[in-house]
Amino acid sequence: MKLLRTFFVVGLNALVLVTGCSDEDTVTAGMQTGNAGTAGMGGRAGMGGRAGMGGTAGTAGTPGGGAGAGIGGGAGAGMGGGAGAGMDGGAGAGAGMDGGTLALWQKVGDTAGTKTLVDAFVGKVLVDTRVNAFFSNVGLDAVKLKSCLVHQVLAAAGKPGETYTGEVAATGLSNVYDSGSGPATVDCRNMLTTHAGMGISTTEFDALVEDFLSVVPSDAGITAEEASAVTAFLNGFSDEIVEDATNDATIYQRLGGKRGILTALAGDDFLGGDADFGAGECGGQACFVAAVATDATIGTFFAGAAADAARATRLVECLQRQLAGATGGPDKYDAANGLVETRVGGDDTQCTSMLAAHAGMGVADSDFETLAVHLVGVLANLGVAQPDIDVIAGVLTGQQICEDIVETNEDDCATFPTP
Amino acid sequence: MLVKRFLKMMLAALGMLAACAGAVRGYMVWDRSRDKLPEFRAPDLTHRAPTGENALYGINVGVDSRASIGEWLSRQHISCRDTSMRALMVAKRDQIAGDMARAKSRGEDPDIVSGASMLNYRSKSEQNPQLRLSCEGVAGAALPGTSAPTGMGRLLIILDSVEHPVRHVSYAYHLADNDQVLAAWNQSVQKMMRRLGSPTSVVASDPLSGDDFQPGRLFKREWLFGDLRAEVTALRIGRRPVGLRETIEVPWPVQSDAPTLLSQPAASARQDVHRDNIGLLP
Repeated sequence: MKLLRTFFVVGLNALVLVTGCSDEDTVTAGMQTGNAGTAGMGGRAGMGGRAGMGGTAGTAGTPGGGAGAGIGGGAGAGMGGGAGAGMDGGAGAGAGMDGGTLALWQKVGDTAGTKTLVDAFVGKVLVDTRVNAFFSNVGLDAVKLKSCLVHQVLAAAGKPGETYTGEVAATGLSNVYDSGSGPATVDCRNMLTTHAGMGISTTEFDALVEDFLSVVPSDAGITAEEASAVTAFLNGFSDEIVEDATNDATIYQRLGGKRGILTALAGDDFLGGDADFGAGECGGQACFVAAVATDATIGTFFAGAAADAARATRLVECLQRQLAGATGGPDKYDAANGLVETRVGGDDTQCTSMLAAHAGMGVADSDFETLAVHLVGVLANLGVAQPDIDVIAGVLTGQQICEDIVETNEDDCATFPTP
Repeated sequence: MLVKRFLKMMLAALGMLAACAGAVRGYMVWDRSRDKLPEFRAPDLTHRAPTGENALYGINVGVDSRASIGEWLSRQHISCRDTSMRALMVAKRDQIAGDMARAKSRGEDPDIVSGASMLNYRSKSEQNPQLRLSCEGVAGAALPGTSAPTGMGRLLIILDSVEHPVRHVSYAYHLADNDQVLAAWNQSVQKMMRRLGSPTSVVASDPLSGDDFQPGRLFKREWLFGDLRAEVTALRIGRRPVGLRETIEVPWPVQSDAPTLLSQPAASARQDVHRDNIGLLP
């Protein structure tokens, strides 16, 4: 639970990822698409870009090279047809697809319903090991992230007056999660800026889209066309968000991201599987935690974790964070992200430093080498390329880590790698 | 009158509460001081190792007791110390007790000694009665049948408790010369193959020369049976000499007398050797 809470706090900022506003075009798809009504939120009419979601009616608007405005709306080609109307034919003049019935933004429940949707999305993402590593570091502003998401969804769904689609940044948007103590407004960045440098892969982007679609209420009367348009709207952000189209730009990605690392550490234990620490689940051999826990020479150091689910979880989460941070993943492993000298009150979100975690254990350099043998062995069994193994082994068996862990023959650590 | 009676009842209740808390604390200390063995399981006897191949350097895994290990260590002039969690904690408490006694003799408050509260603390990990005899700085030449006469490293001998036979024997050592590494590797692997057959799992194909032992390249051969496990590994890390290790053990968590299970049960006298072991073996 505490982990989830941490993810949640950290994660909210990252949801900006998905929300995105754009800088260049103002979000008013409607302005570009049509005259009569507001355009759908993401509709980037006239730019040939993506379709918006739920654009309200408008006049024909400029078609742009591609999809036109609003989810359905705009460019005279909206799903709803009609006089340049958007799919949902909302506030604008034209007839929407539903012929004057509820617009998409109304179907999702306006701001209140969208907040529920966004909360569900955030909740989904935070437990999705395919992507939640991006939300696991401190510094994310949960309220801002969720507020931006709400505005983005509403704009995409065609709510009149909502202009933040993620195409361009927007400032001074109302903080819909304002509880009275926070800021009244939020500034939302565009998708490109928000995700720059994150190294997000195609697989991770697809997972985010899937998570969003999975929480869209099925009983809201959303038509197949609208759903399809929502998907197109989300997928339209891939160019701005994805930096690793082939899922192999970093060792982290080549390991299979967080799920790959969790597998190497404990098999399917943290991926919905059994609780055996990955016995026989890494190329037919034991995964790392199973290997060290059943190694008579060092298993005693892990006996506590092996016998206590909370400690085992913390061990794996901390190792995961350490390994991901060392291989180009999004996790940070530092004092600001749960790494402490002394855990406070049994806080399971905190990882103690290598030095503190091993103090008094009497670990010898031979034990440290045994750990290295298990780590390298598991990676080899999983088919990780040798150059990647070299880098990982070099980092995780470095001199500093050795000195922090080893208490017997510590001088020998000088011969371990210096990253 | 009523107030008096109420106060009396309150005092009695508080007294009972304090007594209960003391009892609970006492139970916890007592409970933590008990041995708690891991859960062992019976071996798969349909997949046994070849008979009589359970020894390494003359130490019989699954057979030798703590006493016979002591004799063996004496013969080989090897010193070890118990590095089990229990022994380490005992040593730590002994050190703190000494510090406190010295502080008291100087007229100081013994409670100012760092970690003084540990004296009455027992960690869960101390409940494991394992003996972990770590023998550092052992020359390969001291080990009968060694594959590394020029090596220098750690001999590790593990027993689940003083009542149990040896579970694990390994020798981890380093060699700087690539040709010696290759020779030692080949000798270790061939020795195990002669005794146990082909390895049951392999990491990396056979090295062709000493230059194949590059940093981060793991070479590993394992022989896994229901009652026995053997392993040979070689791994160079950074600028270190290549680290090699030979192991024969009863696979975890199979009961450590598995190699002799059908012939005779292992048993020996129970005694608390954790304190005695430190620095006193052989």
